[in-house]
Amino acid sequence: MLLLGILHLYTVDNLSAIYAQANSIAIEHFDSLFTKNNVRLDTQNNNLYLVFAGPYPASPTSSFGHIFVLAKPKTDKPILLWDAFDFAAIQGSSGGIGFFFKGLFGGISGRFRKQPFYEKIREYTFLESRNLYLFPLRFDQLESLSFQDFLLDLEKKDFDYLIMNDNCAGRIDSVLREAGNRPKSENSALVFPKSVIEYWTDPNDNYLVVMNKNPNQEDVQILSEINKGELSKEKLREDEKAILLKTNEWYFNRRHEHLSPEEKMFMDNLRIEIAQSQNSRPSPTLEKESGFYLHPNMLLGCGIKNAIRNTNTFSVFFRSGIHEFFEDSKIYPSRDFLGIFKLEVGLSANRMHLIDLTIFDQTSLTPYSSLTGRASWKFKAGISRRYELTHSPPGGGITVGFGLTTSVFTSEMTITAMIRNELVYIDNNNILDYLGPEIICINNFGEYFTFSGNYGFFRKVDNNFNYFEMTNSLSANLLKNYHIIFEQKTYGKENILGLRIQTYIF
Amino acid sequence: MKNNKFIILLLALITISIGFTGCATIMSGTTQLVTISCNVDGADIALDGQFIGKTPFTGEIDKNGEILVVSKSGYKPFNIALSTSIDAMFWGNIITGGTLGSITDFSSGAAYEYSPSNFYVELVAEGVSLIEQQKNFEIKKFAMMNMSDIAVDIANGSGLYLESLIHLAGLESSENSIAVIAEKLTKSNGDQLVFGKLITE
Repeated sequence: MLLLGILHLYTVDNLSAIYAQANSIAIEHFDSLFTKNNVRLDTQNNNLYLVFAGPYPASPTSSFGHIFVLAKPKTDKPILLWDAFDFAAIQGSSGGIGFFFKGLFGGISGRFRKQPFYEKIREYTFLESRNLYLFPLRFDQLESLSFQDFLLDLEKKDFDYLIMNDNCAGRIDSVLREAGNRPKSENSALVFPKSVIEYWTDPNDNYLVVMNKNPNQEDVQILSEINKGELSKEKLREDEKAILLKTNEWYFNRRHEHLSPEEKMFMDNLRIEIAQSQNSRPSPTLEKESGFYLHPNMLLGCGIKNAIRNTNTFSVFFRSGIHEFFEDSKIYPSRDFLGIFKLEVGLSANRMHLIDLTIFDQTSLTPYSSLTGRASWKFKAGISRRYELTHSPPGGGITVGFGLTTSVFTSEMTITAMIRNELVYIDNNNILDYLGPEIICINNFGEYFTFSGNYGFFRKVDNNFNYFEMTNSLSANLLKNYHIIFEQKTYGKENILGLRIQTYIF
Repeated sequence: MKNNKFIILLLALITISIGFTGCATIMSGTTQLVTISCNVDGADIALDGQFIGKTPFTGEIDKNGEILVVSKSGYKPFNIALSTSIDAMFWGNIITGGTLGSITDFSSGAAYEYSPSNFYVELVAEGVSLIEQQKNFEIKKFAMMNMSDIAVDIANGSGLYLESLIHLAGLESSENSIAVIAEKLTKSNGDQLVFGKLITE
C-alpha cells in the first residue's frame, strides 16, 4: 500500500493538468445543435491547428487531455479530410493495469500517425465522448510545411512513450520546436498539454468542433422507447429520425459489439428513409465557442468541521482530479467522479492530524437502461481516519462497490443502489471489513447547486457490529472556479458538520 | 475468531481481485463475434497462425488474438495487429472484459472497422502498386464509415460529409452529383459495404 501511495504521489506530481470546462456546450441536447447558426472556421490565415481533446474521466491515462495537430492542405479540401498528426501509445497486448504502469515507468512505445480528421472525430465521439477544440497555431506557411515534413519523416517509427513527459504533448512540442526553429525545451520531468497549448497558441482564440455530438439522456430515451416497442419509428418526425439514427450509431459503436441482423436492418432502413426525406436536420459543422476556457484541475480547499460531541477542527485539503459530479451532470452516459490524489489535514489548537490520504478514487454512475446495461461502480484506495476529529487511529484500505443507477424522475437526478465492500487495515489486531448496501443520490438544481447523499448500513464482519453511515452535502457553485460546500456526516454515533470553500489551482 | 479472520481474508481477496482484475472473463467472455469482409472473396483468414475461415467471414474469434492474416494467391498477404481496446474505457473495460479494438496496419494494403466489429480488408494484387488502389480505397472507406451522416446531408441537399465525399470522388459540386450519390445510397438498401462498393464504381 505504501509503495502504491508513493507511486501515485509520483504520478500526480508529474501528470499534466488540463480541463476544458464547457458545460454550456457539452450538455446540449441534439436539438440545440441545429438551431444555432453554424459558423465556418476561418481557415484562410491559418495552416496548422493544435487540437485539444477534452479529458476523459474513465481513463486515468487520458484524464488530463490529449493534443494533436491538424494541418490545412494547400488544396481546397473540406476540413473532414485534412490530415491529423498524432503521437499515441501503442497498446499492444498489455492489460489495463500493465499499460498504465508501463506508461509510468517505461516499456511501451509510441508512434506518430497521420489520419484524416474525420477518423479522429469518430474516435473521440464514439469511444470517449470527448469534444475537440481547435487552436490556431502561430506558424507561418514555411514553418507549417517544415512541421509536416518532419512528421512525415517520423511517421511509422517507434519512440518511447511515457505518460509524464514523452507523451502526446511532449513529442508534438518537440517537433513544433524543430519546425519553428525555437529553442529546445528543457528536459522537463513533466509536460502539460495545457502548457504546450499556451506556449504555441492564444487560448482565447479557439474553435469548437461539434460534429457527431454525443446524445444526452433524452435522445437515448427515444431510442430506448423505440427498442421496447413503446414508440413507433413511423410516428417520429424526419428530424427526430435523424437524431434516432445518430443516437443508434453512437450507441452501437460505444457498445462495440456486432449488430444483430434485426439491428442492422433497422439501421439500414433508417438511412434510406432519411436520405429519401427532405428538410431533415443538417449535420452540425463547426461552431466558434466564446465561453470556452481551459481550467486548472487541482483543487485546494479549506473549511471548518465541528463534531457535535467533540471538538472543532480547521481542515485544509488538496485534491488532484478533474471531475466532480456537479461539473458534468448532464453528459450522457456517465456521471463520473475521479480523484487521483487527495490529502486532507485537520488543524486544531494543539495538534495536526491526518484526516484523509486518498491515492485513487473513482466512482462511475451510469443510469441503467435497456441500452446501457452497464453497472455503476466505485473503487477507492487510501488512508483515512474514520472518526475525523478524534484520536482514533487512521486505517488504510480499499473500497469497491457495484450497483445500478436510475434516473427515473429527471435527468438531473440519479439514484444509485450499490453493494459496497470496504477493507480497512488499522493494525494486525484490527483488520476490519465493512460490507453493506449503499444508496447514492445526486441531484443538480440548475447550474448552481448540487446535492449529494450517501446512505449505508454497514456490518463489521469481524465482530458482527452494525452501524449506519450517512453523508449529505450541498454544493453552491460560484463563478467558474469556486465552490462552497456544506456537509453533514454520520459515522455510527459520530456526527460532523462541515463548511468548506474550494477552488481550482494550477 | 478464526472463522472471522478467514472470512475477512476471503473478502479481502475478493475485494482486491475485483478491484484490480475485474473478473473480466466472467462478465463478458473471451471471444467476440466479428465480421471480416474483403474486396476479394475466398481469401484465407488466420489468427495467430491458425486458419479460422475464408472471406467473407463471420464468427467468434479470441479477444486475445494478436495477428490476423488475410491472404490469397495472387495478392499480397495482409497482416493486421489486433489489440484489445483499453484506451476507450480503461478501468471500465477491465471490469467488463474489454472489446476487440483498434487495428494497426502492419504491412501493405489497408483495413478499417466501418461498423462495430465489422472489419473491411482491401487486398492488393501482386504487381499492382498500393498507390494505384489508394484513391478508391479512401473513397470507399469514407463512404462506409460515414454513411449515416451522408444520408442526413442528402436529405438536406448539402453538408460537410456530402461535400467531402464529392471532393474525394472528384465529382463536381452540383445537384447532379448529389443525385448520383443518393441513387447509389438507395440502391445499397442502406448497407455500408454495398454502398462502399457502389460509390467506387
